[in-house]
Amino acid sequence: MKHFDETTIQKYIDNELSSEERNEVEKHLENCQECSKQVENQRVFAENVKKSIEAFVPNEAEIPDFKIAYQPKKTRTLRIVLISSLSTACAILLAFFIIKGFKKEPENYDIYDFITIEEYDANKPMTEQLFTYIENNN
Amino acid sequence: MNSEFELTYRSNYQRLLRIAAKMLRDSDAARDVVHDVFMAYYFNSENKKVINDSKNWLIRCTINKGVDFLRKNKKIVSDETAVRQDNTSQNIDNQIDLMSLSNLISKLDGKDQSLVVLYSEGYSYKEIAEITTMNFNSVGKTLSRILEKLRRDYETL
Repeated sequence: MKHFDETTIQKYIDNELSSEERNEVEKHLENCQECSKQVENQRVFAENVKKSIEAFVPNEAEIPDFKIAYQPKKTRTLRIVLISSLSTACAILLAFFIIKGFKKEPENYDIYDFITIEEYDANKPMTEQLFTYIENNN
Repeated sequence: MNSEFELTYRSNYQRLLRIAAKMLRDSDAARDVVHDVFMAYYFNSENKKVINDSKNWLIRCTINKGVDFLRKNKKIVSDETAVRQDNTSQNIDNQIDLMSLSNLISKLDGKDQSLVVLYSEGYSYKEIAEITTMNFNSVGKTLSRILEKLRRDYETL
């Protein structure tokens, strides 16, 4: 004869078994001291659990009128402000450089082309520098 | 405010207050939570959001807000229970120490605690499954496991 587990007994206590299962349990309980004791234990304990938290329910039960509470707008914290302002600055800078990169070079320009790097002397005045000077006169 | 909302408010307030009070163990906090729940419900209906089963929705919302509240105010709530313990120590049953039992329940995690609260409110397994959106077949098993665990903990006290 097999004994019933706690789940089945709990369901039996809470009237959640189907009628066939219920009959089966009841038939078993007639002959089984152990299970009857278990049923009684669980029943008492479940009652006590219910009783123990019933104490927290407030006695006075009047229903207050429903008032729509003022909901303050969420204030932005310093961190969020910092992050958002920094990211805006970054975005503006990025946009600036991208636009600048796309800017076309002017078509008419002068090319200063040194023959080699060695011939360039930074200490000399501009007029004595040795470089080719190509003037674009188009 | 429309009369439909007023009706829902009147018919559900006490039910929700009981559940919230059982979870939070503090009637003022429970009233706050229930008010929050109705605020959420009110704004949902204002925004034409359809809530099919308002009773279950409200209970579920109460439980979720209660669990949030417990998580936020873990320390404060535990102090509160300590105070309560002194106040209600006179009506302790001779056979079983209800106060330490309720303290054991408060130490369960939020989901288990809400199951115990719903069970103590006398809901059937089917209703519990609908409220918590749990699988119906697992309600009995989960509940009996929680109760068994509580019983073992209580006996080892």
